[in-house]
Amino acid sequence: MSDRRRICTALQELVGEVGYTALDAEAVCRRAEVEPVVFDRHFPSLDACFAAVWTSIDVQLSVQMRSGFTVPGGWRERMRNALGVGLRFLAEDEGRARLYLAEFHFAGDGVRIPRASALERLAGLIDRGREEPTAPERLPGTLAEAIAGGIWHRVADLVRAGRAAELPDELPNLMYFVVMPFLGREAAQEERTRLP
Amino acid sequence: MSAGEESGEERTPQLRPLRGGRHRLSPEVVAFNQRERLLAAAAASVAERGYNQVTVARITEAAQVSRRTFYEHFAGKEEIFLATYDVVDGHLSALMAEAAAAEQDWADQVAATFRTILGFFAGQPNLGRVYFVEATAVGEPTASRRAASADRIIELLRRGREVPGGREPGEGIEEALAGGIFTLISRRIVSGETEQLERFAPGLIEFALSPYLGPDEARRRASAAA
Repeated sequence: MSDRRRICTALQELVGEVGYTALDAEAVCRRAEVEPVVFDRHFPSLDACFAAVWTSIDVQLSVQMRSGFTVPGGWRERMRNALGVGLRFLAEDEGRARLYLAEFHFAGDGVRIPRASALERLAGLIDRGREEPTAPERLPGTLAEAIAGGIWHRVADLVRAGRAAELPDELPNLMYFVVMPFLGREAAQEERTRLP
Repeated sequence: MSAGEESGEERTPQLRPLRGGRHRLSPEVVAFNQRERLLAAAAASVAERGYNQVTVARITEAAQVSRRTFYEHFAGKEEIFLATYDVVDGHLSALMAEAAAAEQDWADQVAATFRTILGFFAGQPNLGRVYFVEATAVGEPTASRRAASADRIIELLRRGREVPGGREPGEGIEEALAGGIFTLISRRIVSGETEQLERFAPGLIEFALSPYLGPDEARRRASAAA
């Protein structure tokens, strides 16, 4: 394993164990078993290392969710599949989920912009609901963004509460939340009563 | 009771500093004003530079007080930030309660509350930045405060489950709604649209009411509230 990879793995593990605000570069170096000068060769700061790890997770999640969105069927089926894929990915590794969903707040501006892009990406998938034939003509322009933010917060809350393993079970509730404004109550209620 | 409250002076959340320099005022009033100046300077400095970049020196310079005076009031940057947050949150909470109390119907209470929040921060861009954006960078010390702020919204929304004829949404919907509302407002602030926040009220109200009233009725109520 390369030095860079060991450093990133060490940071990810430590964030999952103690949280980012409890870390410094020295702790990461000790876990990675590298000298500080090696860390400095790869990253100008701890925040930069965090941003690299966060972005790596984001890319993995993005690829999986986009792939999940390409299944046959309408927007509702594709949205359900993409969200399900994302929830299962996050549920696999609680420390990784915590870093991605919650700890980014403490890592400076280097993550804010990529995180904003991630939110916009999710909102983009949700916003496709407008194209459904039965969707209302006039929907607030910020609707998809608000739904995306709500999903993020809800999932982050569950991870913070130590319930990452339950994330896939949350899919029906999240789909209710997504579908309601676009397809109405009946469709939303159907989503809520589906088995995950 | 603070000097400001004793004098009957309304403590507004603008946190605008009074002039520095000598005053023929009692030590208590001077101390109160110094604290207010420091809080105002902290809000302005954090809004301008971001919490991580702000220093005590920057705050004291903006407040026109000495470092010694700063440390008579606050232990450090984090403490003054938390005090600033608490002032804003306390005032906002009072405004929200007042707005909701003026309405009988739950949906009208939600609409009035959201209009109040957006109107408050539209008129106070610095405070919006402090409250919605920079507070997240502070970490654990603000986490419980932010959770308490979110709980007020969650509690208000949860009453929508009791609306006659409404449908009960699933677990966690209120938390998701509060998160979505927070996201929307903070992103508008980050993109420099704080002073236009009130424009987003109808969409936000519709978003919040939809899980309980259904999208059509939510839209109707949001439009009526505009």
